[in-house]
Amino acid sequence: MRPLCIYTKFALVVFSNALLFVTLPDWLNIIICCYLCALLALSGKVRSCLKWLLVCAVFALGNALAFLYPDNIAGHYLLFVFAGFGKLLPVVLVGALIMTTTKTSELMVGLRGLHLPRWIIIPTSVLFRFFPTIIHDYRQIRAAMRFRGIAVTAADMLLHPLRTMEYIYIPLLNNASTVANDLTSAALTRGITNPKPKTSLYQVTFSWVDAVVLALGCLLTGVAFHA
Amino acid sequence: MLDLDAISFSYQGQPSPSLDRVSLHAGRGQLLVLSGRSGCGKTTVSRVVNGLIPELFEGSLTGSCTLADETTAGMPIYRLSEEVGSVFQNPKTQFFTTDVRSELAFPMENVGKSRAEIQERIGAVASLFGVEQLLDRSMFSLSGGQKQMVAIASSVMLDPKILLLDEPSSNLDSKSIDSLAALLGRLKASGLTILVIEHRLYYLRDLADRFIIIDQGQVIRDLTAGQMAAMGRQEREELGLRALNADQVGKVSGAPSAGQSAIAGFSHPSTRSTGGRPQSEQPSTEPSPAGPGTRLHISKLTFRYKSSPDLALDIPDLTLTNQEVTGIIGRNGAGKSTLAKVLTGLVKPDRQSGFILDDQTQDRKELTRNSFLVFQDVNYQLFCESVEKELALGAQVSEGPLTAPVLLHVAEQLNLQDLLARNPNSLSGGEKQRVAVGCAVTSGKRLIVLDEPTSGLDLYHMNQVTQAIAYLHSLGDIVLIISHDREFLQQTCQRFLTLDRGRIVNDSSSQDR
Repeated sequence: MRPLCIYTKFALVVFSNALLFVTLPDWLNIIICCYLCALLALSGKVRSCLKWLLVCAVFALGNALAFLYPDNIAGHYLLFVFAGFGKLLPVVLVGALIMTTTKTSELMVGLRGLHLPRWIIIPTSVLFRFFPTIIHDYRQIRAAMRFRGIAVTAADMLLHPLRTMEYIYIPLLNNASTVANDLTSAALTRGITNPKPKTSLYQVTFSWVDAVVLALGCLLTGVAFHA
Repeated sequence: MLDLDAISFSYQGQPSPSLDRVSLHAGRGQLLVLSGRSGCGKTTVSRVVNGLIPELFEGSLTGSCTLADETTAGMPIYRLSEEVGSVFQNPKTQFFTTDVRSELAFPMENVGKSRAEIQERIGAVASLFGVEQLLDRSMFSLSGGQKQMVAIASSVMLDPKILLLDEPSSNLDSKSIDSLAALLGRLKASGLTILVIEHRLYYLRDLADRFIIIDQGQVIRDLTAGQMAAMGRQEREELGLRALNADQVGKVSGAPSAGQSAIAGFSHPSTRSTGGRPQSEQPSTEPSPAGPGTRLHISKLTFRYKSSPDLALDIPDLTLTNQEVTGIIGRNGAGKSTLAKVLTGLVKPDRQSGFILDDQTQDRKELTRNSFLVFQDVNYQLFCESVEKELALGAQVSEGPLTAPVLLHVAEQLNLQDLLARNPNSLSGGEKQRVAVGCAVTSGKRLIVLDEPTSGLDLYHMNQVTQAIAYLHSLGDIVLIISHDREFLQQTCQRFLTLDRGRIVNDSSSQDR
């Protein structure tokens, strides 16, 4: 399937953030998560759709079993994890959808279409380009840590969280500044600061699928605020 | 076309100038090569030309830069970007969008060309560069060589007058370098003025109009191609330059540099408490005497990536030993890096694959424990605030903890003794590389793989890496080197494995088939 229109994605960002302000009944929360996961499948990311559905199911189950939690610190902690992070799920899902199905050029067209100032558009698109690089860096660093015998297993990571963080952060930050510099150079020497009106090879297309997705999104948000 | 007149520049906060009265002239359709030691100011020259100085890098700039009779001072960088195309060193971060077509369109979108014009130009440039079949690929799925081609294609989209390339060959195999050279020839013939910053000179021999050698911010030589070709080896090496002739490279510098001066320190070998074996005088030219040879036997190795049905590696039987330093060669994408990842346990091969290190069967975790991969980008493997702590981190010596004298000895062998208190992040590329090699030594590994250890290094640092490898070899470790750098391979390796589509197609004692 064709990915969604960039403006539909922007609307999803608004919806998911609005949902943070209201308390959702469990059944509605589940429907909203399913709706967002379905969008991943709609954009051709079937495998990641299934993965996220599983995550949603775990949270829904954890929430449903809330009355079984013991009334002590550990129990409260579990409740906090399932209810607190569960609340963030829609935002995370929309984030995953946008990151995996959007091209940098598409994002720039979208932001320009909203008539945002350049000082928002340029840093946002640089940042967008930054994430995949950081993920790649993280994998490299984890591999390097294994050769040095630092936090080789997941158990090590959990037992020494601070030490692990330190060994991940130092090379990550050292590299991040270099990467930021390089990306800025690449953008500047290709004329990103040119004040002329920009054109775009990428064409924004809004189809009936987008209309249906938007209508459903409005409906669900409306129900959430009403309930 | 391009005239620099007495350009001086000091980066903000640095007392000594990075450029000192640099003047040079390039006519239309000329190709100039800028060379010199690492840190000599070559890249700074390119930043003055493309306007990143003063736009991104601040400092005090004097002198004038004239481009097609127009002075560039005060010209905004977006205007300059229409005249000057820039290609940077690191192929990973020099593209701004995530797919090839958008990357090519990006400069044209910024100047507001119409969609039809952009499409037409993409078609023309893609066919000139031979990248038509890549247009709809994600940038992340391209090989280093392909990224380089796309980066150059993107920088000529606006039909600039000048093209700047910063070490374009550092990630390319020899065939890709040949196609890069052919491409530069075509661009030059079309009237483009080209400035190439480079350590590897051989592929530019027939293209360059002039070679400009920079040292400590000053132009110390401005040579015609003829003068450069006539330069003797001694003068060339004094200038810190690498060989001009690909075929002679090994023969000229091979034998002497392997066993030379800095590894004379081999005389006190067994200060290190593990694995110290007596060394031969010239470890890399003559195989070490057979002794307690460490060997890794690989059987029925197959590996495939999830995304592809084809075998990425298929090696039925292979034995690697510490008797020789082994070079792994082959084209970009032949499976060299994949082999390195499998041998160091970073990825899991198919189940029937067997690894036996000194009669002990190795699973994936044991392989990781016994091996060390020095990344092409070593920045990822440096974790500490000083070189000394870095060498001590994860150190495992069989008889108790790493002692100070052992650490010092390793540092001396790798020429790091004066850098022990420095922050690894502040070191040069070549120095970082040696710190990583030092870590491999102190962590008592038996199999050490170096991935493209000389990419972007000048002659001096290349020779230092050669010495570091001779040191590893003398310790009795199995050393594998993945590289495209013939000059370097010739002086370090005694055995060459050629990979092609995941198979070993040649196993011999010379690089030439």
